[in-house]
Amino acid sequence: MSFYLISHKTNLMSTIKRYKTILFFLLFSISCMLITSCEKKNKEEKNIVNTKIDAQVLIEIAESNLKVVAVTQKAMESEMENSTRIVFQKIENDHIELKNKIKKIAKDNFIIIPNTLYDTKPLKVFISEANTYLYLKKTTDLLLAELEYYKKIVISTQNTALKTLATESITNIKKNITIIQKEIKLQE
Amino acid sequence: MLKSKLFDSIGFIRSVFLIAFFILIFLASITYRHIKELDEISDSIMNTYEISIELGQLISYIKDAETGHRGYVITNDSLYLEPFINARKNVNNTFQALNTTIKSDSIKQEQLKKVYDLVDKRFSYFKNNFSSKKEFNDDFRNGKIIMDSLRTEVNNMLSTENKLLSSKDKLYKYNNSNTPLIVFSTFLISILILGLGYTRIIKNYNDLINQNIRLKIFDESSKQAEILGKYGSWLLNIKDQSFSYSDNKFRLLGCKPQSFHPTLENLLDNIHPDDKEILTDAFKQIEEKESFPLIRYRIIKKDTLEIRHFRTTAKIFIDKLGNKNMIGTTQDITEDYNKTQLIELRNKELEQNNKELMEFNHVASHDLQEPLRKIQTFISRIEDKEKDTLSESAKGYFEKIQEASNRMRILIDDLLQYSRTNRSEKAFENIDLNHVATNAISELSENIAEKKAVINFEKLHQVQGIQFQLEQLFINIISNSLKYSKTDETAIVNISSKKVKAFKVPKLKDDSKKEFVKISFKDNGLGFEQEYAEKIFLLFNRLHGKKEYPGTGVGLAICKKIVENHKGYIFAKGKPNEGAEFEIYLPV
Repeated sequence: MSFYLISHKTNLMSTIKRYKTILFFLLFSISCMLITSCEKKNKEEKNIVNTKIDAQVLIEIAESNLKVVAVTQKAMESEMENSTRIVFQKIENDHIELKNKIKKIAKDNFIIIPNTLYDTKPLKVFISEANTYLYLKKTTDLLLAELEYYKKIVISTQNTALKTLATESITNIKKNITIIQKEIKLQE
Repeated sequence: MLKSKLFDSIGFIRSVFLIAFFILIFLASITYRHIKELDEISDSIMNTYEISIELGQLISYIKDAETGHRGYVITNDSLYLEPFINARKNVNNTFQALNTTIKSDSIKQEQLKKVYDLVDKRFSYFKNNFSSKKEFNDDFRNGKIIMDSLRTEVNNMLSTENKLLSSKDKLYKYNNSNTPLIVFSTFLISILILGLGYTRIIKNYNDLINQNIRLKIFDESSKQAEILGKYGSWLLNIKDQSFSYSDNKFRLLGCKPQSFHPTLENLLDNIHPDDKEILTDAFKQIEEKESFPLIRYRIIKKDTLEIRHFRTTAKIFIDKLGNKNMIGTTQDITEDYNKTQLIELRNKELEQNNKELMEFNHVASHDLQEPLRKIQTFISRIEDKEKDTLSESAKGYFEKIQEASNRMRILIDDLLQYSRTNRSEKAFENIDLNHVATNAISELSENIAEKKAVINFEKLHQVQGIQFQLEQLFINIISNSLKYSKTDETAIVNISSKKVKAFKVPKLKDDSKKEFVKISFKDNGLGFEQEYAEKIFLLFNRLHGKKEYPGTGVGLAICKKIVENHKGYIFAKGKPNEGAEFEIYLPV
C-alpha cells in the first residue's frame, strides 16, 4: 500500500500549475497597485525637470540685451562714418528682435524681466568719455559677455525654447562680433 | 452527510478562498481609492492655501517694488534698487510657485496669465528717468490703475479659491469621518475571513491527520493480509508507464521488497517461458481496451527457482488529480491449483467407482433373477408333476422354498428399482401433484379396496420434478401407510401441500428465502417410536418382523433417494398406535 501513498505525493510544479489562475490574479493585482502608486510621481518629477527656467538667467540675458541696445543707441547719437553706423544699426536691430524673443519666453514661463536699465551710472560714466572707437570696443565687450551667457545657457538649460534662442543668438552674436572687430581694425 | 461532504470538498474550500481573495482585493481597492481621494483632497486644499498665500504675497512684493522704485527715482541712489530687484525676484518666485500649483487647471492658468500681464505692465511703468512731470504723473496714474486692476483680479482669484477651499473642506471632513469606518470594516472582514480560513484549515488538517492514521493502519493490515492471503498489488501509471509493486509482490516473485525498480521491460523476467504471451496479451489489452482480463500464468521464483501458479486481475482507477492508473492484484494460487488438481483426480476416480458399482448392482440384479426364475419354474414343475409322490414334510419344504424365492424376487425387484432411481436421467418438468396422487391411488386401487382404506387429498401444488419418480414416491408412502394400518380401523391417509420459506423451517437448516412445497402424508396406522424416524429410511431396515409385515426394507429408502434426487428433504414423525406422518419438502 505504501507505493500507492508515494504516488500521491503532491508535486510542487503540479500545484503551481493547478493554482496558476489564482497566482496570476494575485501577481496582476499587486503589479497594478505598484504601477498606479508609482506612475504619477514619476510623471510629475519628469515634467519639473523638463520645463523649469531659472528666472535669474532670463533676467541676466534681458539686462545684457538692454545694455547692448543702450550702448548702440547712444553710439549712434554721436557723429561717425556711415559704415560704422550701419554696424551699430544692425546690432541694435538684432538685439531689439532678441528682446522680443526673450520677452515671449518670459511670458510663457511667467517671469518678469526688466524692461529698462535701472542702474545706468557705470554706463553714463563711460558715455561721457566715449568716442566711436570706444563705443565699438564697449559693444564688443558686451557682445562677448553676452556670447558667454548664451554658451552657458546652451549647456545648462533643459527648456527647448530657451535652448533654441541661445543657439540662434550665439550664431548672430558671433557674426556681429566678427563685423564689429573688422570695424575696430578699420578705426585703428 | 451531504452537507458535510460539500463543506469538506476541495472545490468548496477553493471557492471560499477565491471569494475571500476577491473580497480582500475589493476592500483593498476601496481603501486604496478612499486614501487616494483623501490624499487628493488634502493636496487640493494645500494647493488652494498655497495659491491664496502666494497671491497675497504677490501684492505685497509689488508694493515693495513700488517703494524701492520710488526711493530710487527720488534719490537716484542705486541702494534703493536692491529692494526693487529683490521684490522682482520674489514676484518671479511667486509666479513659479503659482504656475506649478495650478499647472493642471486651465481656468486658473488663464487667470494667472491675466495677473502676469498686469504685473508685467505694472513693472513696465517702473522707469528710472522721466522726460517731464506730466510723464511722471501719467506714469504714476497708469501704475495706480493697473495696480487696482491687479488687486481686482487677485481678489477674484482669491474668492474662487476660498469657495473651492470651503467645498473641499466639507468633502474632506465627510471623507475623513468615513475613514475609521472603512478601515475598521476592512480590518473586521479580513479578520473574519482569516478566522474562517484558519478554522477550516485546522479542521481539514485534523481530518487529514486522522485519515493518515487510519490509512497507516489500513496499510499495515493490508500488508499483513497480503502476506497471509499470498497476494501482492501493483500500480501502473498509464500515462508515463511507470510501475510500482507492493512489498509482498516482490516476495511472491522471490525477491526482497523494493529490491529492483519494476518496469514494463523487466515485467516478463520471472514469467514461465510458455506463459509469457498470456501476460503480453493482457498488457496489450490495457492499451487497446483500457481493461485487464483475469489471467492465470506460471512464474519461476528467483530465489528457489520453484514454479508457482499466479492469478492476476486489474482495473482502471482515475484519482482526484486526474491520473489514470491501473491497479492490479496478483495472487499465488499454487496451493489451490494443486488441491484442485487433486480433487479433479479424486472426482474422476469416484465417478469411475460409482459407475462400476451401479453397473455391478444392475448386472447383479438381472443375473440374480435368471437362476431365481429357474428355481421357481422347477419348483412349479415339481409341484405340478411330483406333488402326489412327495411326503408331507417335503411339501412343507417346497412351500418354504417357494416363499423364500418369492421374497428374493421382490427384493431383487426393489433393488432394481432403487438402482434405477439413481441411474435415471434427471429431466425436470412442471409436475401437478394432484395428477401424481391420482395415478398413485389408481396403481394401488386393489390394495386400497382390500384394506377399505380412504385416501384424501385436495388442491395439491405443482413442483419441478420427474413424473415417474414422484409417482413412485407417492405409491411407496401410501402403500407403507396401508401396510402398517390397524386391522380394526379403516385406514385413512390425508395428503396435503403448502408453500413454505426455507428459513421458516428450522429442520431444513437453510436460512435462505428459498421456497419449498411441503407435502404431508398423515395416516392413522400403527405409527412408530420417534427414535426410529431416521432409521426407517435406511436400506433394508425394518421395524417389524417379516412374517407380520412382509417387505424388503427398500421402499422408504427409495423414497429418500427420490427426494434427494429432487434436492428436497424427507422427515418422518410418529407415535406408536397414533399413526405416522411423512413430510416432504420439494423446491418449487
